[in-house]
Amino acid sequence: MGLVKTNVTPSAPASSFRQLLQSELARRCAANPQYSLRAFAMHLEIDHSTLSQMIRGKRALTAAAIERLGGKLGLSSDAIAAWIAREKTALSAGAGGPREREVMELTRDAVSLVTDWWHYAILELTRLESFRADSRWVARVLGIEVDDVNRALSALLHVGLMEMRADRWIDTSGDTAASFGDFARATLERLSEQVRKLSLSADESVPPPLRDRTSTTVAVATASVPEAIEMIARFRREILGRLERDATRDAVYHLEIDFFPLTRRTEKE
Amino acid sequence: MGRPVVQWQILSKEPDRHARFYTDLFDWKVNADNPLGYRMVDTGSKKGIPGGIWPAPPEGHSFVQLFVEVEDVGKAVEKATGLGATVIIPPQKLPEGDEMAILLDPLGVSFGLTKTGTGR
Repeated sequence: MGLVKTNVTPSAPASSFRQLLQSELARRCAANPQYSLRAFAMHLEIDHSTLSQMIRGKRALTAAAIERLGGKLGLSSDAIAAWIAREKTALSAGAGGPREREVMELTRDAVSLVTDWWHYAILELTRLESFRADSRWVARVLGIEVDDVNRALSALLHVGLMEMRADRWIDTSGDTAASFGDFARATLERLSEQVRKLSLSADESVPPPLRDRTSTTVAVATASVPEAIEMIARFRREILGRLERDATRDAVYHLEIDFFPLTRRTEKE
Repeated sequence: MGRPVVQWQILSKEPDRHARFYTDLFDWKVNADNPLGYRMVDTGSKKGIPGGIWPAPPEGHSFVQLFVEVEDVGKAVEKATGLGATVIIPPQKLPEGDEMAILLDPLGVSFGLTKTGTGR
């Protein structure tokens, strides 16, 4: 397949390098109906699943990656430096960078509608190679009613976390491993209760090599708690990054991390 | 070609009960053997239009929705929003090829836009 001539300028109307990649791919696809993510990846000399993760915000865009990809896109060294600086600014401006902020915005919009565990499970299911855009199949796999799948589908389409394209359901959430920080209390309680039941059920039905549940109580110095929370965030990103690297996936898991004080603070504190 | 109303749909809190009630009352036939498990309702007559039953969201209530056929769902959505409608579900391509969008008119009544695809 012939490669489309690059025409990316520093003034492209993207607010992040990820969006620049998205819009450039979209532009090429519009110019050539045969063009695909794979062709774009080939042009950029990068693995197509890696590129897909970058475009979906599932993989961080390091300075080295921006430099390499920017070069392939024909950007000038000044433009590349500007994009690197912009990404660094974005990262330092908020928790976890653009990807995390995007997720937070989505969770704020979705908070009143996306309230059951299977909403998230359906989004993740769409990433399995064996996924079938069939509510009856989804219901069977998740062990829920077809009506529950379809209610979830309506909610996900409404809040823009999913799109239906004939025989494909597309997860447009970017990431559903969101912090629950923006969830309304009632929603969080409902989700936690559902997850607790699923976890107990997995204890009985899933053999130990395929599940893990640990719980630890520990005395801490409160001053170290923010650092511990940062470590948890890193751990979450690391483990999700590792699991999402697999090109072929055949199951959906739930990872839940709780870290909270058992002791109460006194008035003096 | 006009803009005909081509389908009705009951958004139901209890889809099975609704299906049972109307099949018992009118001898309608309900068939959910399709990728969305959508309860398609055959009224058994060439008069009128066919219907369907879809589960209502838990926080909502049961109601009836009408679908209007258009040539271009995206353009119709654009025109509707220009006239004050709100998009509930943006244009989607359904498994069997139809296109669909759900909107709220400026007075709060929801309706659907549809374009029959090649899959039917």
